[in-house]
Amino acid sequence: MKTLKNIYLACFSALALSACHKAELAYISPAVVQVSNAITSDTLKGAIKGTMLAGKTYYFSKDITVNDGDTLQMQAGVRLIALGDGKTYQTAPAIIMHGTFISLGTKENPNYITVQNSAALHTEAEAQNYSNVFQGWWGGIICTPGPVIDGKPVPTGGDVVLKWTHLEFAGGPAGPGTLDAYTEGDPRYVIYFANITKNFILEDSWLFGSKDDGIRVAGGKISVMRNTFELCGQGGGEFFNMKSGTLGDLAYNFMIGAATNALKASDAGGSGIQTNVNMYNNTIVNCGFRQTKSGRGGSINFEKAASGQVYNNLIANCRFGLRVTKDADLQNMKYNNQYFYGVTTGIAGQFLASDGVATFQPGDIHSDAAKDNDPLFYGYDLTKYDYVANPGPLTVSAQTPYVVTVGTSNFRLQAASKGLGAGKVDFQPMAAVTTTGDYGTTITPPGKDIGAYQNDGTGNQH
Amino acid sequence: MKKLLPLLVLFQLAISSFAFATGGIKGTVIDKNTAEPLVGASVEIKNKTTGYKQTAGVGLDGSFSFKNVPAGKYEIEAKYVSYQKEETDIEVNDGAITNVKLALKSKENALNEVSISGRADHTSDQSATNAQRHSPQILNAVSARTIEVSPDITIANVTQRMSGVSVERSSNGEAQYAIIRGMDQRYIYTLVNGVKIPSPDNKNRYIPLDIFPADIVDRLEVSKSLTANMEGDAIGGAINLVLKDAPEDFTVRANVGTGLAANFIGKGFTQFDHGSSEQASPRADGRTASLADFKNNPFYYSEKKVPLASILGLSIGGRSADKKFGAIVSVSYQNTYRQTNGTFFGTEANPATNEPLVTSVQKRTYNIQQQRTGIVTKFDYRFDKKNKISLDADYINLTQNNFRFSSDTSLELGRVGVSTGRVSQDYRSDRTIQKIYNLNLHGDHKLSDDFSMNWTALYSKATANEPDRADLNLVTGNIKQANGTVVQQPVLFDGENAQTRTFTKNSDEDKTGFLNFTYNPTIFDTKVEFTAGGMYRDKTRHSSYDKYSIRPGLDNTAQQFNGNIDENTFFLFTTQGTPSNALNYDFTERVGAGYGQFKFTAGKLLTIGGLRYEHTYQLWHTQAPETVAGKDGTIKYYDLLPSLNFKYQFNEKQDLRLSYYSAISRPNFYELVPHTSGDPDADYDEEGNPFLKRTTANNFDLRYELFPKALDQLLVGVFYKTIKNPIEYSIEKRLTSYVLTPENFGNAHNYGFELDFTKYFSNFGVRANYTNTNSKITTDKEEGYRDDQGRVTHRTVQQTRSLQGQSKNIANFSLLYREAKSALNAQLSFVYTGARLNTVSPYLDNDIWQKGFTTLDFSTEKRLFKGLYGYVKATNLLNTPYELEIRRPYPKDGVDVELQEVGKNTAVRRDLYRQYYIIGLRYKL
Repeated sequence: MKTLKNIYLACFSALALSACHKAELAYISPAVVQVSNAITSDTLKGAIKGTMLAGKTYYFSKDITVNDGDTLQMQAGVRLIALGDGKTYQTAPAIIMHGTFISLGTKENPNYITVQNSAALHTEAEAQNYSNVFQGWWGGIICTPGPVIDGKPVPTGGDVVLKWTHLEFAGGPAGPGTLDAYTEGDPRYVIYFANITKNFILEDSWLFGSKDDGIRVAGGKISVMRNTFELCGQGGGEFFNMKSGTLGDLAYNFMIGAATNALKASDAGGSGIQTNVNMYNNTIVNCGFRQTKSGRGGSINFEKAASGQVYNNLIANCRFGLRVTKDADLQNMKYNNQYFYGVTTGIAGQFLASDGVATFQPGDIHSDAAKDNDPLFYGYDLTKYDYVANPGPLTVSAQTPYVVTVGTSNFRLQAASKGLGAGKVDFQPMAAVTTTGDYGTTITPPGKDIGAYQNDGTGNQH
Repeated sequence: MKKLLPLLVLFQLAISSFAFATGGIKGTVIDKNTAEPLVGASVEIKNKTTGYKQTAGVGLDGSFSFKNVPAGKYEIEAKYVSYQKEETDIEVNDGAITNVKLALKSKENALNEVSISGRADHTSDQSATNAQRHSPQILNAVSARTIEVSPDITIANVTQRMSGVSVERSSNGEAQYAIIRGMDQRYIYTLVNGVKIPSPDNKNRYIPLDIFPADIVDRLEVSKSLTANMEGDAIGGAINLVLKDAPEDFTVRANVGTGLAANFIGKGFTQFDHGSSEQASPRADGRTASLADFKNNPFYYSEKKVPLASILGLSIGGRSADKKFGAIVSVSYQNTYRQTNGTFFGTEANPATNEPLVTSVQKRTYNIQQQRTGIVTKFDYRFDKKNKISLDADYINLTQNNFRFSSDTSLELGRVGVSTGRVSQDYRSDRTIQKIYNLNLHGDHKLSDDFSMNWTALYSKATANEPDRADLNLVTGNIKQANGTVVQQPVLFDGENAQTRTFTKNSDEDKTGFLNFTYNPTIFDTKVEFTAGGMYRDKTRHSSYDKYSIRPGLDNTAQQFNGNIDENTFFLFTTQGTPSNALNYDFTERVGAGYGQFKFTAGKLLTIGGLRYEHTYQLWHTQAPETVAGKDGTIKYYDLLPSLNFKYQFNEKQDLRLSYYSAISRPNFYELVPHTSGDPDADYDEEGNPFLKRTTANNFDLRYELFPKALDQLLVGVFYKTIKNPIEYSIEKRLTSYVLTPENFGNAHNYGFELDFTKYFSNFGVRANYTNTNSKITTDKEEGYRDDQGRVTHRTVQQTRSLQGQSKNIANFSLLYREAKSALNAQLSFVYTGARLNTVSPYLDNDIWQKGFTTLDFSTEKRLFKGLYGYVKATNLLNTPYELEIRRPYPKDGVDVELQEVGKNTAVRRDLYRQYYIIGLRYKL
C-alpha cells in the first residue's frame, strides 16, 4: 500500500511539473510622446518648447504639449491666446504641461493667457451678463508628470512660475488630451498642478472667470503671493483648492466673488505628505454664495487632515467664515487675528461655520451684530448689496458686478479701520519654495495690518 | 420562530401519521438495467375477485408499502414514465407482510445507444445522482425535479444549495454569481449543454446565473475537477446547465404562478417611465448631443399598487412515431418585482489613527422589476443506430428596470448635532436589457464498433444594453435654527452635476467548433478508451460607453426642485459623451485547443488521464488617446494542462477518488483595457491594467463516496489548490490619489474539506453539506499614523488575508418530505454562508467583511387533480439582512448614529429584502 501511495505521489508531482504555462508574449502599446519642436511662428502646435518673445502675441487652437524636461517660457508683455469656442473639447484647447512653465510678466508689461474676445467678456461682466464669461472657452493649463516611457521611469513634471500674468476664461469638459488630471467630461480648471516635488509660484497675477475651480493643486510646493482672484465658478468651485501633498504659503491675495471658497485645503488623496499651508493677510469678500450644497465653506476652509496656520485674513460678507471641520488636523493648526464683517446677522452667525470646530481667538475682530466692525475700505460699500433679500444660494445673474469683480473698487483700509495694526507678525512663512530670483519666489512676510493691502504700501500691488 | 411554527406542526403531523403505518405488502421498484430505485413510480394492487384496489407511490428511498390489505390473491402493477409497466401476482396473508421487488424496463429503444448518458427521465433525482456517480470528474448534480420542488426560480439560487457553493447577490438580494469553494466567478465557467456561451455582462467572461429561469434546465452540474476534454479555464470549477432533451413520449408541462414580495404589502412599487429612453447614446448615433436628447421621462414616476409577479412556463416535447425525430420547446417567462431597503455608511480610515471613520449615512431604496424570458428548443434526429444530430436554439432575455432612491446625510458637512447635516439625494432610473442567442449543432457518429466521433458547431451572441442610466443629483440640508429646531432646506440641484446620463452597450460573439474522436480498443484484456479532439473559438467583444453631465440651467443655477422636473431648466455640459474612454473597445480572443485522453479500468481502479493544450491569442483596440499605455495590445501564450483522475471502487457502494488537474484563468477584457472610472457606486475610480497576467493553478482533490442505498449518499473530500498570479482588485496609489485596479498577487493557496450527506427514510429526506475553505494571500496595505514630528502620514505594511468572496464555513441543510400517494412534497432549506471578505481596503485592518448569515426557504407542492399540481414557495423567511462591517471597533469619538455602537464592529451596510412568496399551478402530461 505504501509503495502504491508513493507511486501516486510520484505521478502527481510529475504531472504538476509537466504543467506548462508559457509566459505571455505581449505587445502593449506604449504611451506615445511627440517629439517637441521649437517655437517658430506665432501659432503654437503639437509638442513645443522654447521662449515666446517679449511683446508678441501667440495663438493656439489645439491642445499643445510641453514634454517632461522641456521648458516653455513667456517673456514680459506676451499675449497667449487660446482660439476656441469651448463647446467641444476639440474647440477648447488646453496647455498640457509636463515640463516647466515660466511666465515673467512685469507690472508695466503684464502677460496674458486668455481668449481673443476677452475685452468683450469683461464688458459683459461689467453689465451683469455672465453667460459668455462662463463659457469655459479653453481647457486651462494641466501640469502633471509626463507618461512613463523608456528612459523616464519616474517622471516628475516641472515647475510653474507665473508672475504678473492674467489667467482668464478657462473651463469646459475634459477631452482625451488631459486624462492625467481629469476623467473625460470632468470640468477643467484654469490651472491643475500635480507635481508633488516641484514648485508652483503664482505672484502678482490675476485670475478671472473660470467655469469651475480656478486653480487646483494636488501636491506641490506653493508660493501664492499678492494675486487678485475674481468671479470664478459658475455654480460651484473654489478660487484655490489644495489636496494632499501641498506645502507652502498663500498671502496678500485679494479674492472676490468665488462660487464656494476662496481658499480650501484638504489632505484628501493620501499622498503621504500632509497638506500644510499658511494663509495670511488675504482679503476675501463676497464668496460662497453660488454653491447649492449646504455644508460647504465660503472663504477659508480646512478639511480632512489638512494643517497649517491662518492669520490676519479679512473676511467680509462671505457666506461662511473660517471653516475648520473636525477631521482637519487640529493638532497642527493655528489661527488667530482674523477680521470678520457681516452685513446681515445670518452672515455674522457663520463667521465660524457652524458645522466646524473653530473657535474665536483673542486676536479676532468679530461681532454677532450685523454691520458691526466695518473694516472701512477706501472705495467699497459693504452694505450696497442686499444680502437680507439674497441670503444664498444665488445664481450668478443675481449678483451685481459690484460684488463679484474689483472694477473700480478699492479695498485698502482707511486710517480709522480696526484692521490696521491688528495683525500678527511674530510667525514665519513656511517658505516651502526656496528658490528666489526671477525663477523663484519673493515671499512677503506677515504684515501688521489685516488683509492684503498694507498701509505702508507693501502687500498686494494691484 | 413564529414563522417556523406552522412548518414544524406540518412535519409533526406527517411523522405521527407515519408512525401508525403498518402494512401487508412492502417492496421496492427499480430500473431493470441499472437497479436504480424509481422514485415517484406508482404501484397498484388489485384483487380480481373482490375488486379491492389500493395504490401507493414509491418513496424517496425507492420503497412502497400497503397496509391493512385484506388477505387474498392480488395482481400488483408498477408504472413509471418512460418505462414499460410491470405486473406480477402475489398473495397476502393475514398478519404477515409480503415482500415484492418490481423491476421495470426502460422504454428507451436501441436507436439510442450512441448517447452516453442514456435516455431515461433525466429530470429525476436519481439521474442526477447517477451523473454524479459515473462522472469521471468530481461532480455534484441537481435534477430538474429537485429544482421544481425547491424554493428557487432562478438557476443562481439553485446553485447555493449545492455542496461547496455560495453565491454573490445583486442589489435585489437575488443570487447572481456562484462562488465554488471560495473561488469567485472569475475562476468558474458556465456551460450550457457542455459548451461555453458568452456573457452579456461587460465585466465578466462568464454569464451571470440569474439570467436563467430555473425551469428551463434538465439538470445542473457543478464539476469541481476537470478532465482533459474540458476547457481549462476553470480553477474553481464549472457549472453546466443541461437543458431539456426531447422526451420519448409526448410530454406537456405547464406552470403558472404568481408572487409577491412582503415589502409591497401595504405599499406599491415605484416604476419609472422608460418608454422614451434612447436606445443608444447620441455619440453612438454619430451626433453631438443636445439637451433635447435627454428627455425627462426617466424621472417621471408612477406607482404600481399590487406588483404581482407572473411566472409562466410551458414545455412541449415528444418524438415522431418512428422515434427518429425528437423535439422539445420550453418557454419560460418570469416577471418579478422586488424592493430592497438599505442603510449604507460612507467610511474612510482616520489618517492619524487608521481607525475607521464613518463620514455619512445613506438610505437606499431599490425597486427592481426583472423580466426573464427564455425560449429553449432542442431538435434531434436519429438517422440510425449509429448517427444522430441535434440542434439547440435558445434565446434568453433579462430586462431589468431598477429605480433607486438614495438620501445621503453627511456626518461631517453641515452637521451641528443629531439629524442635521448636508443631504445629497439621488434618483436613479436604470434599464438594462441583456440577451443571449445560442445556436448549437451537434452530431454523434459511431464509425465502427470501437470508433466514434462527435462534433459541435456553435454560434452564440450575448448583448447588454443599458441605454440611459439617469441620475438626478439633488442637494439639501437639515439646518439647526436659532430656536433649536431642525429645518430642511429647499431641495436644489448639484450645481456641477445635476444629472448624469450614462450609456453602456456591449456585445460578445462566439463562433466555436469542437471535434472529438473516441477509440475503444481492448489492450491486454482491458477495455481502454482513447479520446482526442480539439476546439477553436473566435470571440469578439464590442463595448461602448458614454457619459453625459447636465447642469442646472444657466439662467438660474440655484433653482429649486419641487418634484416636477418639467418645471426646471437644464444645461448640457458635456455634449460629446466620452469617446476616448477606453471602455470604447473591440477585443478579439482566439483560443485553439487540442487534447488527448485515456481511460481504463484495471481491477477496481479506474484511471483517466490526459493532456490539454490551449493556445490563446488576444487583440484589442481601444479609443483611448495614444498618450495612454495599452491603448492597443496583443497577447499570446499557450498552456499545457495535464490532468489525472483515479477512482478506486472498493465495491458497488463505495469508492475513493483522487484527482489532479492544472487550470488557468484569463483576465477579463474589461480589466485589460486601460479604462478609467466605471461603477458609479464605487468609492474609488477604477483603472484597467493591460499588464495583467493570467492566473494558473494546480488543483488536488481527494473524495470518498458512499452510496449505501437508493439515493442516499455520503461524500467526504479534501481539496488543495496552489494558485499563481491570482487576480484581485486592490487599491493602488497613484501620484496624488488612489485607484481600484486589478493586479496579480504572487501566490495564493486555497484548501479545505467538504462533507455532503443525503439520507432518505421512506417519506423523509435530509440533505446536508458543509464546506470548510481556507485561503491565503498577502498584499500591501497603508497604515495612517503620526510621525515623530506629529505630522499625519502613512506607511506600507503587508497583510495576509483570505481571497475576496471566500467564506470559511458554508453549510446547507434541507429537510424533505414526500408523500408519494397524494404527491405531496415539502422542503425546508437552510443555507449558512460564513463571513467573507467583501471589499479590500487600501488601509490596514479596514477591510470590509460581509457578516455570516443564514437564510431559510420553504416550498411545497401537492397534486390537486391528475397531472395538476399546486405549489407554494416562500423564500427568505428569516428576513436575513445583508450586512457589511469593518472588523474594528467603532471609535469612541465617532458620530452617534444608528447601527453604530462604540466598541462593536463598525457597520458599513445593512440591506433588508424581506420575504418573497410564490404560489402556482403546475401541469404535467
